Amino acid sequence: MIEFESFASSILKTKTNAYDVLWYSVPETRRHNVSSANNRYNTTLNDKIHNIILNYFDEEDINMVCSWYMNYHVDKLEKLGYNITYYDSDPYVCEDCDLISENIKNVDVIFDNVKFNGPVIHKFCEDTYPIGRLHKGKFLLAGCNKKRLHICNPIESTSQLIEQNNIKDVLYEEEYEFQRVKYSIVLGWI
Amino acid sequence: MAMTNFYCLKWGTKYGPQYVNRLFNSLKVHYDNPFSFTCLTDDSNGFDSDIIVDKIPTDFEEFPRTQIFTSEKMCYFNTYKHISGSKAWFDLDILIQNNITELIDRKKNKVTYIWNYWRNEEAHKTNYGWMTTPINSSFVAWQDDIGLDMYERLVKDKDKAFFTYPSYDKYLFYQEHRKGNIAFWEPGIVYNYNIGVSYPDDLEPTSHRPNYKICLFNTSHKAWAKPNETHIELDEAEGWAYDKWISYDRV
Repeated sequence: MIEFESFASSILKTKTNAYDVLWYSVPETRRHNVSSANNRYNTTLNDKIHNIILNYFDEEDINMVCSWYMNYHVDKLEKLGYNITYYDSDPYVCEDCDLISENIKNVDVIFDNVKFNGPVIHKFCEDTYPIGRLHKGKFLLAGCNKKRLHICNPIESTSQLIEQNNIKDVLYEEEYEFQRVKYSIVLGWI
Repeated sequence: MAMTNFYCLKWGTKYGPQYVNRLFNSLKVHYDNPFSFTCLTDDSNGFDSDIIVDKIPTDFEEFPRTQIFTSEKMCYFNTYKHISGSKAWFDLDILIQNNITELIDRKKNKVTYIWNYWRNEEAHKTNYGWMTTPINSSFVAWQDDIGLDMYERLVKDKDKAFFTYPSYDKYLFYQEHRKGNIAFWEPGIVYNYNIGVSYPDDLEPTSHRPNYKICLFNTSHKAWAKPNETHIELDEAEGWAYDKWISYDRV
C-alpha cells in the first residue's frame, strides 16, 4: 500500500492532467473504463456540455451526478473556477477518482437521500430512473438511445427528457447523432 | 422450537409438478427436523397432497411480471412475517445433495443468499456500472421477521426499482448488498452444474461434487456464457444428476 501511495504521488507530481493521473493510477483491470469514459462519443458529449455550462451557468457550485471517470470536467471546468461536486454509485470509480478530486461522493442519487446545492448535470440519463421526478431545480440532462442490458432508459429525444423529468421551463435543447447513436440534451428548470 | 417452514414458487409451465414434488421429497431426506412445505403457484395439479398450496402474491402486480424480476421472492418476508422460526426458499431448478439441517437451523442476523464463487471476483468490480451481479437467490434462508425491512424498502422504492433493474438479484446487489444488509453462504456449500465450483481453478461443468450440499441448474447466464459452460436444465441432465433427482420419487 505504501508502495502504491508513493507511486500515485509520483504520478500526481509529474502528470499534467487528470486523465494521465487516472490512466497511470487505476488498476489495470479497470483501465479500459477510463478509456471508455474518454472515447469519442463521450468527449463529443463533454464538449457540448462544457459549452452549455459556459453559456448558461453563472452559479459557482455545480453538481454532476453519475459522474463516472470525470477527468474531462476536472481539467476543463474546475480550472475555470466552478466548484463541482461529483456523485457516483460505483465505489470503485469513486476510489479511483479520489486521486483527481476531493469532491466525489459515493452515493446513488436515485435511491439514496441526497440534497443538491446548485444546479445538477446528469449526462447519462439512459442509465437511470428520471432524476427530475425526485429533485427540483436547474438541470442539464443528456442521454443517448443506445440499447444494452444495463441501460434501463434509452433516450430517444429531447421531448422524452422534458416529459419524463417534468421540465417546466426549457432554456436549451439539442439533438445530435454521433456514429449512429442519437444524443439528446436539455437544460431547464424542474 | 418452532417448526421450520420451506417455500418455493411455481409460476407458468416451464417446470412441471415433478420439480415441486422432488424438491419436497429431497427435503424429507436432507432436513432432520419437522417442517412444512408451501408452494406458491397458479397451478397445483399433480402436487403431493402434503404440500401446502398458497397463491402467488400480487403485491407488485402493477409492474409487468418478467421471468427474472421475481419480486414474489421479496414477498415471502412480508406474507410469512408472523411465522417464527427458521425459513428458507428454494428455486425449483436446484438439486439438494446432502443434509442441510445445520444451514437452515443456524442463527441468522441477515437473510442469507448465494454468492457466485464460480464467477471472477473482479468482474463485478471492473464492471460495476454494467449491471453485473455475483448474487444468486436460488437458495435463501432467514428466520422470524428478518428481511421484512428489505420488503418495505422495495415497496417504498418500487417505481424506481422496477424501472431500473431487470432482475431481483441485480436489485439486491446494487441496493441491499452495498449497504451490507444481506449475508452469504460460505464457500463449499453451493455449486453450479453448468459452470463449476470456484473461479478460476475449479470450473468443470456437469461434474459431480459429492461433498456439496446444493447444486444449481441456472441457465440464465446463456447470453454471456463462456464456451466451456453448459446450459442444461435439471430435467435435461444425464447420469448422476438425473439419477439423483428422480431418486427422490421413491422417498
